[in-house]
Amino acid sequence: MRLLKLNAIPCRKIICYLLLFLIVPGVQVTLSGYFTFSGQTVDMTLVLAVLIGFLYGFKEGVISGLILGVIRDCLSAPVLSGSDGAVRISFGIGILLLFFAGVYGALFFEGRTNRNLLLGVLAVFTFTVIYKAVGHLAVFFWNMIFSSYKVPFDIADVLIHSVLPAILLNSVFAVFMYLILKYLGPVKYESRKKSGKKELTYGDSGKWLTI
Amino acid sequence: MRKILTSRWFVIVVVVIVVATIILLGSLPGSPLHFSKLSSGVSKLVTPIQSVIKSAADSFDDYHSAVFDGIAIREENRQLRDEIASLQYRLRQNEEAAIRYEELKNAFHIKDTFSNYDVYGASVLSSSSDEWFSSIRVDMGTENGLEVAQGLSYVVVDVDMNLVGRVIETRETESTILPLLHEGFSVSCKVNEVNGASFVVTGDTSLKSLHRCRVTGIDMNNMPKVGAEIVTSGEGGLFPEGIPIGVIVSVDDSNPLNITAVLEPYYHHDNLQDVFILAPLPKTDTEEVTAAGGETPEA
Repeated sequence: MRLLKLNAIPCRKIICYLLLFLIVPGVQVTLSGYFTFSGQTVDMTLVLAVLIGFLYGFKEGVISGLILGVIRDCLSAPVLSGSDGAVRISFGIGILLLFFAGVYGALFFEGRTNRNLLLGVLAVFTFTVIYKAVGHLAVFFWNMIFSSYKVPFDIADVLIHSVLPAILLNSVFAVFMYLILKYLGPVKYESRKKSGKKELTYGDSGKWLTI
Repeated sequence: MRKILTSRWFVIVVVVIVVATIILLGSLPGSPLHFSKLSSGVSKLVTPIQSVIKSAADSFDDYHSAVFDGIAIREENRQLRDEIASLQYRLRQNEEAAIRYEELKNAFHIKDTFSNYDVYGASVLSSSSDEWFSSIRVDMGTENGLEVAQGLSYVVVDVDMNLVGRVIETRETESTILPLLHEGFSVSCKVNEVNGASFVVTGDTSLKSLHRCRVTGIDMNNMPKVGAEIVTSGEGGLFPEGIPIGVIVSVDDSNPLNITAVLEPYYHHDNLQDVFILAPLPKTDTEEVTAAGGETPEA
């Protein structure tokens, strides 16, 4: 992977990413109470990582995911119960999650279709479903192995109280975030528009086709 | 070789292995990996931004209240004035009773719930970021005299003195709280009545999104009723007796050998902006002697 050289990155990109990386996790952990529905909170950092990967390609998706993950783990440290029953502050779960989010966004329908709002929201939608499904299954198996109290896996309950509210919140926020990235994001929108065909080469494969 | 190193799958595999190793090593007992310095650095960078975001949200709330709640506030104000007058009358009535209580308290060595604790007020810096593992960060740390050591932790309550959780890590200017809803949390509790039977309240992943906890260890002859208030029992030594936790919303006695109940905590994380940390006061020599002798009656 060719490393990004700082002097080759436009000023706009540095400032935009810096602001996004500091403000979005800050808003998520500070105002989470304002953005809740049915017990779920909008996962702003996850949406941002997916959309950066989706719009700007693999390299930026990976780097953004890792940086956002570190910030997320530092601001809202995950706490894990060990096999000995003790609880410990963990580090890395957020990094892994948002790294996958960035990669997923970049690989989502790569080279098959043009990047647009609908597809961006679909990327967030599908990643949220995968994240929630994997999370609930992991928790279920963890409880099955280590917990003394066996909780039956109620799919309807998981869907109604976890997956559907999370999808709704993340998808709505994805629309807002997509527009922010498109018009106020790291890459100037007009320059892409003026350069004709270049608008079709989002990402780094350069193989996008119009729908 | 260069092609392999620059391939996407190579990058993905390397990152996953490195991060998974960090997670596993960090989770082991006595792990050499500590990220508190990194966390403190990031916190210092983001905290000013969080303050701006918080004050902007507060200003918006104030503006919203000023515009839309004017009539309601006037009515509330009138009711509060009436209530103040009534309370002042009751206060005068109770002053005499308070003096009598103090006399009796000294005579019988009655202890208040928080009489042996220093109470620190703290603001919530960040709350949960996901459904499963999240903790709460507050702006009170070792600089303020809090220090979590082996076997020592601090109880955290909300502004209404309801149980929120306990402190699991302290850094220079901030602390991390394990909330009551977290699956790793457990506290001994009882029904808020004289000689109430003891149970255990634990967080439960399947109930967390419903803002509820599991109650286990229930004896079939002492089952709590739906609607019963649950408070800390004081067993175990960390949590003082009598801190309100919540109310029982359902009891499952289908298996007499494993009776469980579901509890709805009083505290609500969505509205949590300020908390109080209860730090045990250092024991004086006299107290240590009486505690060792076991002669001090406790109410």
